[in-house]
Amino acid sequence: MKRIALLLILTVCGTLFVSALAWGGEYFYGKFFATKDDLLNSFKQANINWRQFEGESITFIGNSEPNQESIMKLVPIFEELTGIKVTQELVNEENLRNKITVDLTGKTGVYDAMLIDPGYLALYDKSKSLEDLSVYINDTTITDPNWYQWPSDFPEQFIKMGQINNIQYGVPLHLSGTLMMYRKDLYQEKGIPGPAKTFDELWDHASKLNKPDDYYGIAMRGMAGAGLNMFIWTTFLKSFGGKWWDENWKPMLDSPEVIESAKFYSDILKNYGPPGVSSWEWSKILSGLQSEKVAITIDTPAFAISIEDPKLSKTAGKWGYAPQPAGKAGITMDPFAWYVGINKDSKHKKAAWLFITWMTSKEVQMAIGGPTIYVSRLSVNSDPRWREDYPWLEGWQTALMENVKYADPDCRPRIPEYPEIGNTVGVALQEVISGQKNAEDAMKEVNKKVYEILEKAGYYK
Amino acid sequence: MRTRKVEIFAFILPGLIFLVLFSLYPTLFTWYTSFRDYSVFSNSFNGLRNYIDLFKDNVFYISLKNTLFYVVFAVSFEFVIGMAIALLFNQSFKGKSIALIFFMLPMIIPPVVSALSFLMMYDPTLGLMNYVLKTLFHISGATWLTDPKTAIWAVVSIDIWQWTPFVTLVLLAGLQYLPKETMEAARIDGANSIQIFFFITLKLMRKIIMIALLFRTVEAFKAFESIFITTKGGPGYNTRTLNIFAYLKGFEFMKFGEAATLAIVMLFVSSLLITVLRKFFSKEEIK
Repeated sequence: MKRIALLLILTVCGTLFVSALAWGGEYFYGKFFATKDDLLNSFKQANINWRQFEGESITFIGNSEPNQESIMKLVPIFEELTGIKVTQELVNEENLRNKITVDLTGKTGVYDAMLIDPGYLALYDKSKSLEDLSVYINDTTITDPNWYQWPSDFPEQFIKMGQINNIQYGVPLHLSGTLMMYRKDLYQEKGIPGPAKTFDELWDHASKLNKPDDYYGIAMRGMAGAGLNMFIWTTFLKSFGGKWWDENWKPMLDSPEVIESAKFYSDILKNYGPPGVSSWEWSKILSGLQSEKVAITIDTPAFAISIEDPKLSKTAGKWGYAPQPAGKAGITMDPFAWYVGINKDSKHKKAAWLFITWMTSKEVQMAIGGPTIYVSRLSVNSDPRWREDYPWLEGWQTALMENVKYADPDCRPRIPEYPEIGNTVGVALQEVISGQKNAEDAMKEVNKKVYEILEKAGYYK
Repeated sequence: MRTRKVEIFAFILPGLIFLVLFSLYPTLFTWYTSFRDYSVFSNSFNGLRNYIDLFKDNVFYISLKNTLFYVVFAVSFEFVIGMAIALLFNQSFKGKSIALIFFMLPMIIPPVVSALSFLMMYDPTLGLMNYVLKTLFHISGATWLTDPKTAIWAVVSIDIWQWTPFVTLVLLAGLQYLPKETMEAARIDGANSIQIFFFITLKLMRKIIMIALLFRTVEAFKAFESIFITTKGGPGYNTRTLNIFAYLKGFEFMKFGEAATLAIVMLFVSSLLITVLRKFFSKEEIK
């Protein structure tokens, strides 16, 4: 009996202790807002009546990444500002895609506002399940144009990526995509003057920097998948002058340009990449960068915060950032951002729009940490005050903003069939990287498969 | 008599509801879906089209081959190793019960965790496997999960490591209930240990071996985590099993009709495997 009592007391104490830890943290309002009221009052600058939908409640679904979680911690401020009750659901990416696809295409109207992967916009456009946001943007009772600064404060290519057939379905929440990252210290050591501007230079640099006992010249994603190796290789495909298909949707993956890009991508990895790179995805590349194993990579700029943190990375402070190398058809960046949109079947569309303007506002983006946590507004990204605390930020921002100019929203085609096409082509590319097939055979073979997928989907009727 | 029937019905009702809701209805719905062009935008009857497309797709045959490879090699290695270890544990030696506990550990580790651990161990530069090979045997090792020659063996090994203890456990239980008299009689007649094992132990254990193999065959057929986490079916199509293929069709390509068709075909393949196994063991019985 005594033992049970002791056990009970211990359990209760333990639970209390853990919950005390969880409650302990104060909300963080960033260096620009000293108190909660500062942040709350800053929204009063917007010339709209924030309380016009008082008493309504909306449901929002997003994904559980740092950017989102930080915004969601500030939601009580939105509720205080507007009197709108927000129910939030944060799930992982896979789950998010499945849940909103089911909700949007099944027209169940569970979620009023949601985070959207632009790769799926075409699918939602086809099922007519999202609101045209321009109606809300142009309504001055709910959007103050001087305060919200749409579209001037958002990068043009990212605005375009939120559109299908010129209908604006989403507002970008952050901006990301692809960027070249290289070890400045190793470049200096080897006397290489600067980052590669062309693919020949990239080959040259990777070969000079490859010392398999210590580190590898280059690492890029090899693991097959529509958002894995295809995320990076498609920029090569486009830069080499390749095309996915012609005007009649006839696949062109067997063209010499595409074959050459696949050959280059896999050859450089086979020669100067780490062993087993054909199964590397982003987490492997990130740990390769942090542990001094990789000298050059082309991957998401979001790596910066993790490779520049001395607590996480042995290589902090040693990184240089640059736009991607140019091929025959120039530079190509594969942009990525999460978008927020409104469900056509929502019953609180205007309240949902207020929530979207709030979460993409300059104030929120400044409060959650600006460029260190990936936000979409140009003014927030280029605010020089961030650079005091993060010395790497300047070089990173300059390179990213330069690379963003070459963003091609259709790098990975935004059609509903892309997930299957991307996966199939991704497997073919992986077969080339792991040496099972040569680039020519693999691309010719996969070209037929892509044709079959498009044919089945009714593109040639 | 009537009340008795009502009583019986009342008792089986909860089970019946459960079966209909969670087993019968989904199965019938999968059958129904498999004859439809069922995706995010369409839901229309298209007859045998899904089946014809599936049987024309060479990726299906590659996946089928990989699945059978996985099942056959995983289960047979598990049986041979499991049997050897069960015989060992059937003897009495010091520290047996502790050794048995340690040996059973892999079985209670969640498959996701064991797959993630193997993913780290297989890593060609930072992983344990190549480190051990290099420092102890001066062999340079391999890129286990990405070399088309080793990838499928690498994932099969995870299954073997994790589920051999299960086979051992079942067989050990069987061994401990074998009649001692038969063995003693055979020994007096002059049979040696090897003869006793092949002609008596194996024969008497027939039923229990069948149970162990059936369980493992069904489970190995369903194996998902060990493959998805380590290779996602790659490199190329080298470790893509029917399971991975169905997952991709359903959850990534959003083609629910085609995924249902594949699920139905998988049902047939696994039933066939089980029937073959059962036939094999019941034949033995007649002899």
